[in-house]
Amino acid sequence: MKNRKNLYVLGGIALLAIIPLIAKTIDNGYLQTLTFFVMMFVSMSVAWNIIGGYAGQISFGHGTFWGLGAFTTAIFAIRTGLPAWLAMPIGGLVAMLYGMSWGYPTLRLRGPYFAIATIGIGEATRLIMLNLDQLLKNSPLDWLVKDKPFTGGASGLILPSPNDFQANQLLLFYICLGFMILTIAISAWINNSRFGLALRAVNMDQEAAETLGVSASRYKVLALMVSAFLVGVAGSLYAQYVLFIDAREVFSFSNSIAMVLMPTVGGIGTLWGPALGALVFKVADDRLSSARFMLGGMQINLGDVNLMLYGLLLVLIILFEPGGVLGLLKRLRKK
Amino acid sequence: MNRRKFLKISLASAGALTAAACGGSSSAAPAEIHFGAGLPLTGGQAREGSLFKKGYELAAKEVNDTGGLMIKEFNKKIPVKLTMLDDKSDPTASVQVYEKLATEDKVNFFLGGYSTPLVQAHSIVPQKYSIPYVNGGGSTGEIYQRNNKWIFGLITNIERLATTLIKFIAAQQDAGKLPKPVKIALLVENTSHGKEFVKGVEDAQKASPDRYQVVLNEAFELNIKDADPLMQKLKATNADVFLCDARVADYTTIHRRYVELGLKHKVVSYGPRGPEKAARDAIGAGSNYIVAANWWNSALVDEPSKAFTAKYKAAYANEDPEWFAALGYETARVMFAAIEQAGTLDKTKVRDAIAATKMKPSLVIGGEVSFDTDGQIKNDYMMTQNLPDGKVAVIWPSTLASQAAIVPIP
Repeated sequence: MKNRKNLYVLGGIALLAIIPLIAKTIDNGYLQTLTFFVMMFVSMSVAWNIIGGYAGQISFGHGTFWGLGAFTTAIFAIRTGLPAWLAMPIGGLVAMLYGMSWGYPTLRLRGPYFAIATIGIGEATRLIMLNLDQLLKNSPLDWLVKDKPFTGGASGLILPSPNDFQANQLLLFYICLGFMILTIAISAWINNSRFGLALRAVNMDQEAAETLGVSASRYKVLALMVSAFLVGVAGSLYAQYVLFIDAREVFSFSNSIAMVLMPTVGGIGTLWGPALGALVFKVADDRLSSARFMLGGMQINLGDVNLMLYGLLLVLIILFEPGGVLGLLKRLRKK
Repeated sequence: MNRRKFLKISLASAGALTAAACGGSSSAAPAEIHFGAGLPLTGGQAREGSLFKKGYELAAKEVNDTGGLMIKEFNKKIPVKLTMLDDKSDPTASVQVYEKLATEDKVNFFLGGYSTPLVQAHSIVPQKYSIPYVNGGGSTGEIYQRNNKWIFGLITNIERLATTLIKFIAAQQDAGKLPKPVKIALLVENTSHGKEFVKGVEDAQKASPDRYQVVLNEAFELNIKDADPLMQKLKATNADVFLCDARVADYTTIHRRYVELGLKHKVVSYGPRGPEKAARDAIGAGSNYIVAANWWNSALVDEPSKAFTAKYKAAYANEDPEWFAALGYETARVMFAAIEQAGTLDKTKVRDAIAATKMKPSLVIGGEVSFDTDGQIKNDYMMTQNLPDGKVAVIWPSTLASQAAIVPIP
């Protein structure tokens, strides 16, 4: 059984690895782009699940980590020309430190209060990043914005263009594949480790876990840091792929919402559910955006009802299959 | 089959293959020329996006009604095909949409998106895939200052918009209708659009402090919900002129509150916004006498504008065209003209033809489309003033004006 599972995983990785080749063979480069974004969203969803699924701390502020990873990369790329492989961990580290700074006070909150606090942090971060250049002007840190924009404010930041776009995209594709595998491996390790057990105990009953000697605050902060690091690295990859970022977009609330929705749809608190959720989310979103059909002489553009369909799916899952798509698949297999 | 016959067939086959490889691709004309555009068809800018779509469709229909674009390389007319995808008014989605158009739909050429932040986000894609891109929806100069040889913009930058308003104010001062120095209150959206607007006004103030005095300079976030704090600040300034750089939705929200509070200034402008029907319907009589500096308006009476307005009304149930549709139409026309000029579908040659464009007559102010070395047009703005009963008058420049501006606001 386990061997078969390993075989599936290896098969999946092999298939992803040859996507650029397939894309070239069938002459459809978009397959590579879409797969890149799916892998990035899978990584973000799996990373969010560490704090939101295993530890049960619903964060609506993960967009800040993604944005910080993207901005750290952009700022370093513009000011120092730092290569991608070095920019990624730095982006992750900045996001992790930021997560730690607000994780300590907010993770002491119980019930929905942590979730509410993360909404506030996300919005505050977005506004600070949007106005940071203005705030730095005529301050002791004025040198940061003297010659070049720091966050670019509302204008955003444009990253230096690579000499060879296609080669750079291919490189980023494989880096993203490696990063996604690493993220899932970290999540799998946490799932089976003492750390993961402690998180699940906190999720089920914090008081009971604490009576058994589990330091709930410490474990929750640690989980948030790991999660923030991984989402920060995903942000770094995004900035390098798109080559233009602006604070309004990368810190937008919709990114944080997406990170909550994907694991919920796929199967929150499981290893593979968040990955499956991201796959469904991204591919459905992409395909529906250009799908249209005729109904009684009227052209229906599915892109217009895309969010409604997704919302409907979410309601159905919450009502009838709390285990998400993964739970549904398991149930169908048993039958 | 004997040896000689086999040799003959082999040679003939090889010859045919060689001919096909060498000349086959260049002589076979495609069935259509494929254009792709990513537009905000849903989300916050859906209305403006759908107007661009109408402009593109009208231009494409016009060409297809005559059989298509004449391509010298194939010595025939080839019809055009449009693929327009929805970017949901989202910059990330807009990048993906253009990636998709380039790699999945394999369009020959790009038509641009709307608005500035979205164009800014996806403008890297034409460079990535070396596909010529012409747009009429991205105005900020930053888009064109990236040494990107594949993008071209049909609307001039926002700094010039501010400069046009300043020139207009100076003319009113000279006519004794506004004081010297005039106190200006500035409210701008927190985007590169707004920043350029502020720069234009601030530069004017630096150059002529005896004429202009900025007494308020505030930025606000897009899609403002409550304009009251801004209006209270505005009220406290006692300014003569109120200049605001805003999108249609924010213009509506802000000016509604402005009217409710009974504020009054000698000149009021929302930058490029003002005559939009939806906003005027929502604001009512309070929108009268607002001046706007814009890229085009259906009140223009030059021949190309009159012809376009007539065509648009005929195509879309007598709907009055707004500048979004006009610039969409003109964007497509510029692209089509450059392709015909190049006489080929070769992307580099078409790009060079766009760069060398000198298209006239045209809907753009000045009547001629030509691009600066950075790929952006550098023409003038025109100005309109809202009049009672939903009417609009062209008031600037004097060569296009249908009447003199009403200053101060009665």
